[in-house]
Amino acid sequence: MNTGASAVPLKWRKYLALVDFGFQSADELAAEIRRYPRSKVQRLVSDIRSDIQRDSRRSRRSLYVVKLVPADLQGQLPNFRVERSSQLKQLVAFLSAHRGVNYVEAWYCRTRIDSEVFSVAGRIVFSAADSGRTQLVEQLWRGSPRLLETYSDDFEFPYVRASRYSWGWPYSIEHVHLPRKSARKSARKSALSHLQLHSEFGYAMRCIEQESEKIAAFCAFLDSFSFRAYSLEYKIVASQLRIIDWDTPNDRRVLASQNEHLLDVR
Amino acid sequence: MLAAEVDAVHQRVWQAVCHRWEPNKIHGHGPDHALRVYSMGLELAAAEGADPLVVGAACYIHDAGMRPDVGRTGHIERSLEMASALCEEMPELAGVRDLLLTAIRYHEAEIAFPAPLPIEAVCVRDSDTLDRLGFTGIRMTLQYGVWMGRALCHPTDPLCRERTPDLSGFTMDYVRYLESLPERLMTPLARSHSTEKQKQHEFYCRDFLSSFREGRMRNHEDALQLVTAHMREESPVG
Repeated sequence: MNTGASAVPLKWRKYLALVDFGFQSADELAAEIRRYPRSKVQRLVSDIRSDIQRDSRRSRRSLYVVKLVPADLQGQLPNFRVERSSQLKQLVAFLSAHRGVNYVEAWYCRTRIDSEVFSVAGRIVFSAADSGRTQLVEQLWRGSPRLLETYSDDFEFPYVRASRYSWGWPYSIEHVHLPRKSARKSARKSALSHLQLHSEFGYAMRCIEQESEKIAAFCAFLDSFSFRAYSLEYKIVASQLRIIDWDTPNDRRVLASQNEHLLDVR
Repeated sequence: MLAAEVDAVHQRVWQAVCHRWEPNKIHGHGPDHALRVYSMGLELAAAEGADPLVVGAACYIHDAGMRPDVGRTGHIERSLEMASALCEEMPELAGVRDLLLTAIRYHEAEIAFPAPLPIEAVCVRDSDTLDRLGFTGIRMTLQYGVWMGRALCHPTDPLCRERTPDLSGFTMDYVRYLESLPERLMTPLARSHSTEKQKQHEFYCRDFLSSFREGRMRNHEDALQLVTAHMREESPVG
C-alpha cells in the first residue's frame, strides 16, 4: 500500500536491511507488513476485521500485531495485539489513546497461531565470548516475540530458553515452561508435552541452521561494528522461517553504513 | 508480613528474574548490580520506615528489562511488564502493585517524578543512584562504553574539563557526568553514603588523568584495569 508518507520510517529501513541480506524479497516484506498512513487507521481496523472473518471461515486463527510507527524510532513502538474481532473495540480505543503520540504510520502483521499449524517465534542473542559468539535463544509457541519479556511462571505460552557455543554446536536447554492448564485461556493453545516441546524446539533450530549461511553473512556485517551483542527475531510458521527483526546497541550506525556496504558487495 | 515471609517473596522474585540479569553482565548491569541495589535498598528502607517488601522486589526488577542486545533502550517499560506479570502470579505482590510499579518507573535519578514520590520509590531510586557512583558506577559505565563501541575519552580533554559532555561520544564524559548525581539523592543515609563514593570518584579521575598523560590509558581495557585495581584495594581512600 502506498502510504503517502514522505520519509521512510527508521523501522522500515531496518526491515529493508533484511531484504538486502536476502532473508525475504521486498514484495514478501510488503505483503507481511501492512502499512497505513496515520490518516487511514480506520482502514487498518477494517482490514484486520476482514482478515479475522476470512480466518474464521477457514477455521484458522491468527495473531495480529499493530504497531504505531514514528519516523525516527527503531524499537519499543507502541503496539497492540488482536486475536478476536471482539478485541477490535479495544484496538480502536488504543488508537484513540495514542492520538497525541507522534507516529506517522500504523502497521500490522499477522501470524497463524491455530493448533493445526506449527507456529513459533523467538529471539537469538549473539554475544561476544572469548572466541566467537555464543547464541542464546528464547522461543515461545503461538505468540509474538514481544511477549518474551513478560515470561513468568504463569506464562500462558510454552517457552524454551537455550544456549550454545556457536554455529553447529548443540543447544543446551536451560529452561522449559509448559503452561498450567488453568493458564491456557483458549483451546488453540493446545496441550504440548515436554517431549513434543523438545522435539519442536529441535525442529525450529534445524530450520534456523538451514539458513545459517544467510544469517552468518548478516552477523558478519553486524560484527564489523564490534558490538558486544546483537539479536535477531524470527518466526516459523509451518516450515517457513522468517527473520522478522534485528537489534543492536546502535541501529542508526548500522543503517548509516549500510549503503556503503551494499555498494561494496554489489 | 514477617521478615522471613518478605525474604521468601524476594527470593521468588529473584528466581523469576535472575536469568534476565545474567546476560546483561556484557554491559555491566549483571546480577551484581541487582544484588548491590537490593542490599542498599533494604538498608535505606529500614532507615526510612519504607515497606521492605516493595523496595526489595523493585530493586530486583528495576533493570531486569535491560537486554544484552539493546541495553537500556526501553528497559523501564520492559521491567514494568515483568513486574506486572509477577503481580499477576504472586498474590503477595498484587496488593502492592501500584507502589511496586511506581518504584520501578521512577528508579532512575534523571527521571522527573510526580510529587510526592512514595518513600519506597525514593529508596529504590537512591539505591540505584548510589550504585552508579564511585567505583561500581565507573566500572558499569566503562563496561557499557565497551559494549556500545563508544570512544574512551576525548583526545585532548579526557576528563571533559572544557567542553559540554558528549555522553554518547565518550565514556569518560559520562563518568564525569556521574558527578552530578549525588545532588539528586533524597534520603540522608544515601547522601551520607555518597560522600565515600565521591571520594572514590575523585581518586579514580586523578589516577586516570595521570595514567593518560603518561600514555598508559589507551583504551577501555586500561581504564577497567585501573578501576578493578582500586576495587581490590581494601581501603583506597583515607
